[in-house]
Amino acid sequence: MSVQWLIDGAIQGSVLALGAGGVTLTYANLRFGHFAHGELVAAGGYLALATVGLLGGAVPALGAALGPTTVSGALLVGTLVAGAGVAALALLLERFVYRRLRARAAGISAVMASFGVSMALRALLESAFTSSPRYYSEELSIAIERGGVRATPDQLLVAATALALLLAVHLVLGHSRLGRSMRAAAENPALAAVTGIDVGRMAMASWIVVGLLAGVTGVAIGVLGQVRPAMGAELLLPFFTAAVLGGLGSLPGALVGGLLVGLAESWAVATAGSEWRGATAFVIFVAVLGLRPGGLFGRPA
Amino acid sequence: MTIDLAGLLAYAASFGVLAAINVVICLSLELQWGRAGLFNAGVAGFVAVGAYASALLTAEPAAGHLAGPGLPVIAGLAAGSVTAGALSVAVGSLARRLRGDYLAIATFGAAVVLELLLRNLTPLTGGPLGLAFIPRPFAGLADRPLAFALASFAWVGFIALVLYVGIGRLVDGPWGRTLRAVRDDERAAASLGKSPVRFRLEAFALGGALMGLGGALKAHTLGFIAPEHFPPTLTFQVWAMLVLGGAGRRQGAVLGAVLVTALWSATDLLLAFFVPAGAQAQLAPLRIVVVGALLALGLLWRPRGLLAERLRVSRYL
Amino acid sequence: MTALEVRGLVAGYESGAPAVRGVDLVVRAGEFVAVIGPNGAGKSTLVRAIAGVVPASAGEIRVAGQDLGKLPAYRRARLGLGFVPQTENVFAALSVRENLVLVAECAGRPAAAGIEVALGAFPELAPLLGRPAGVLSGGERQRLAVARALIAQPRVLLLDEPSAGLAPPVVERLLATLRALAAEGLAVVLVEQNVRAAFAVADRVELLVAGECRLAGSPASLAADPAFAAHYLGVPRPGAPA
Repeated sequence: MSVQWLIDGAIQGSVLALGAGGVTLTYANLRFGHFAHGELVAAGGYLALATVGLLGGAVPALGAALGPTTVSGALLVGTLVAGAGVAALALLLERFVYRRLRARAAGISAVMASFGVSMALRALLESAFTSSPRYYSEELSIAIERGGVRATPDQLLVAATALALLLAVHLVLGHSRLGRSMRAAAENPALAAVTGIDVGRMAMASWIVVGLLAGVTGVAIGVLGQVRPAMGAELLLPFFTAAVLGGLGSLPGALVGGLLVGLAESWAVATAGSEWRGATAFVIFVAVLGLRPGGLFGRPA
Repeated sequence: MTIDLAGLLAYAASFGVLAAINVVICLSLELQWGRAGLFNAGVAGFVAVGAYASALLTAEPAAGHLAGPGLPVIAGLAAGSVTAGALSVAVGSLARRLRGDYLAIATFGAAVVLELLLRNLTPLTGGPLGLAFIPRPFAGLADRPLAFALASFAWVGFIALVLYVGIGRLVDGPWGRTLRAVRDDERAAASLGKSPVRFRLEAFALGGALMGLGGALKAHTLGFIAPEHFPPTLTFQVWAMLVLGGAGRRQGAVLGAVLVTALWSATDLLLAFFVPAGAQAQLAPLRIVVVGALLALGLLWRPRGLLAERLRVSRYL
Repeated sequence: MTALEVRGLVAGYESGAPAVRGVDLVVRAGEFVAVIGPNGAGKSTLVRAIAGVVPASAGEIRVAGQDLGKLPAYRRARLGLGFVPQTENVFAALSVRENLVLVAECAGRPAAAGIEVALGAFPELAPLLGRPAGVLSGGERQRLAVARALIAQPRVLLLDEPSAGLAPPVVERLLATLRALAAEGLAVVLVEQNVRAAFAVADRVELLVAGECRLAGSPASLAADPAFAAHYLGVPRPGAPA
């Protein structure tokens, strides 16, 4: 068997890692499993699409593809718009839905509300854009072949961006004042408050980072495939699985978890057929719960 | 314009059938969440399993899929419940202590995989086309819409009523009391020698079995089923019913089921009558937004019944 | 100079009645006040309400003359009100160093200065700086918790039973350190279950019963009160305990 599946899996895995990073951060800092993360991702995909449509038409220079990729200057701007826009969307959801629900006992009513938010956002996207797939570019990214394995410049760009972004977020949260305050507020809100940390602002900061990650995840999925209302929801299970596999709350864990889930999916597709891609994540999830519920890098509960 | 009284009545009866099935499903979620505090994010999957199990066992042998023994409907209902109940035990055992977000992800994932299986195990499930020629009780009346609708409502409504009363007996009895104790104070319950995990698993399994029964009822009233009858939005609708009606009370579950079914049917009618065909595809998803908004508003403004009994004093705040 | 002035504070609800019912408490800079009382008297609720972690339904809380009663807890912390909760009073997942740096940053001070203050009060924390706070022993944790509160240079330091669960020599050292800090001008309010320990360090003792201040005075004057001594010091005995 060719090792092509390894390359494909690593590329898909880097996208899953990006999504899992958002999920795991929501879990760590906001203390609930956010079932609408897939729709934040899709919102990012569409925000970038709208930006490409507006800018690419108005400024022809921005519409041209950069280098060997199909990614245009307009899409780079669109990525920023997606990150910022989804961060704003996440802040709105925090303000009007989650803030009060998170404060309640088990936090499960925030999970439930996120379920509703997920359905409602996806329905809004379907209503606005229909469910037919859209693309950032009509060009094809031509694969580069080295030693019998292929990857397109788009794929390499996406994987590199995903890894760089995760690393950057990890470094910022690990070593900055903001990151320390966010972790402190997440671990013990009451103690953080008497320490002088504005816990509400830290929650907002967390949502901004989560929104940024989700927005870029949407663009990454769109560059490699299609922009559709369900583009993120379909990956929610692999996102969660990767986050749980890596240990909920750990960004490096999300990275490793994402890569492993991506590789496993790719292997399953190569051996069992593409219709079983979706089941792979669940099998891994079941295995993790059975063997190591805390995940690979989980903190002791 | 003449009012077609018989037609109106038939419509009301078929609405009643739909509402009664939703009452059954909502009651089972009420058992899992309201009584045991177990979050199920994959209701649609458990409902689908019940529907398919019952359909496969009761349908006549046919070319193209494995359906076949042609058992009576009552056996199908039982088999649908048992299958969904067994699946619940399996999924519940995954999230060992059946608490929190792991159970939510496990049930969500189970529903995703089930949908995948329904679509791809074509020899068994009929794939995307699903299963047809599922026996419907009183099918002999099918050419008289009013009589058939009333008969269907009668038998489905009867089952819903029996469940309502039966669940009431159960949750007010010793088992229900223990369950409440386990939900409210796990440690105290454990110290009395009750295994919290076992009681939760029992509640989860019973709830799952009743969801399966709801699915089987759906199969035997529609006469055909396909994966698209059990979309993730079904899970979400059932949650909206429970949250709106108020978990922790069976009456709440019934009220919520009827209200959301009515809202769903009403928006369906509005779309059909007042929106040009071209715009329907665009506006149809907005019904989900309406229900989603209701769910969120319900959680924000009327959390009583949902969490009132579950509130615990947090560390400092 | 008055550091902390609490007037008519009503806070906390347990089975329908407030846990703290109209408490007045005035603490001068450099004064060491111990709040004692039976279990459920509202001692913890009192300091938590002053710190802002439980809401107060009536009353005023002034620090150096400024009314903080309506401000959220984090603003009170920034305005000179330090609070050491009884449990979970360090960030377990953060390292000891991060715990200290965090407070320094919140108080707008350089990280190095924060660590210096902490190590000045508790030199024994120095070898622990790199460890996660979650692995510290009970005594080490309490010292870190107090050190954390000191870094912000509060005018008033509230402590909720810091001695609970600690070995007597550890308690003694902790209280001695607090005593020394008071001598440098810090207003200390110590909630203490152990009446003897409180008497040994406090300038003034407030007895809280059923959410109200029933008695207040110097340890010597309270110990001389036969009713009080019989109730809270075990056996009646002449004179003040050492």
